[in-house]
Amino acid sequence: MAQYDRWVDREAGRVVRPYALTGGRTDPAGGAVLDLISVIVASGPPPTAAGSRRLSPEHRKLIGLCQEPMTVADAAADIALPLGVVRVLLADLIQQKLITVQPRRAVRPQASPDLLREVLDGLRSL
Amino acid sequence: MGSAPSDAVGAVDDSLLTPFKILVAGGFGVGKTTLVGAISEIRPLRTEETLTQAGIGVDDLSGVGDKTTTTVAMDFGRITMARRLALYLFGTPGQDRFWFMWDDLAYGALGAVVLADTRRLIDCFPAVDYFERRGLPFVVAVNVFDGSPYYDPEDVRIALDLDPNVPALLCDARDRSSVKQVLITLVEHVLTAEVGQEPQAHAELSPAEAAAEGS
Repeated sequence: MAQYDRWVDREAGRVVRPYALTGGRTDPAGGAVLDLISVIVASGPPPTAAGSRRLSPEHRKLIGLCQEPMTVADAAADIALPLGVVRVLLADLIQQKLITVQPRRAVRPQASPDLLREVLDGLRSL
Repeated sequence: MGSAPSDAVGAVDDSLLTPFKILVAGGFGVGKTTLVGAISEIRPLRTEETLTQAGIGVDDLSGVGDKTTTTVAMDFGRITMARRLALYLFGTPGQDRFWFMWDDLAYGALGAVVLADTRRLIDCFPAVDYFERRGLPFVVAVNVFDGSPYYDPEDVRIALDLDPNVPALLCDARDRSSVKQVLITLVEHVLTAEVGQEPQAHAELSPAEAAAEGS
């Protein structure tokens, strides 16, 4: 299998260029990979003026988005950047304790029948 | 993608936003985007490429009519319900080139919908294989296209060699109530399948572990 496929397609340009926003980094700081539906929320005191200047506009935009808990997928869609880039930016903010990841109620939803019944009720009432 | 997602800690707190992930898989052009768009409260995240740019010479277009774009990243839609529950539907990339994204999508998922087109049934074999191997519960929904021959869902089950417990049903991916019924069938299936059944170990593989297993 040609491992270079992803570099020759037209969309390769769109995938690569946004990583300029991360200083070329493609792996999240600390090695933690956020799941698509990990719930993130802004935390701690707002960054100081000096600290804020060190943040990129995208970092600041993410903090703004996450004033209310939201999923990583929602954040990526709202900020209109590729998921990989958003994961790197969020990891920066988590390391700086500006964003925290909320614990998940159902790590393995199949084993949570009560929650599943709630989902079922919710679907039926749509 | 070097390690498992970092929030895998158990906690019960009704005040928390509780999202669930459902994958929508199936062959290229089968209607995954349509299905997600039919029921989600937000528009799918469209990251489509026109085929003239991305797919010519790569994608097999026989039998899909005049479809001119394809999903190269993913569509997603959100269904928000009471008590801060939310269902997230993710349309899995429809081409072989994007298989590397599947473990990421499947991690911690509630289940999957395999959307099938009877004109090109073989296209959903990889998705069925994947979910069977991973132990992720799924249903097969046969999207009824105008002009496609009618098939009994049972015939589809036989053709796909599905486990007798796996639900197979007809649907219209454009129709909200039909899609709703597909999702209800999936959640009911997950509930039934779990009763008195030990979780399968491989259902809890992290993306990194699953990648190692698959290599």
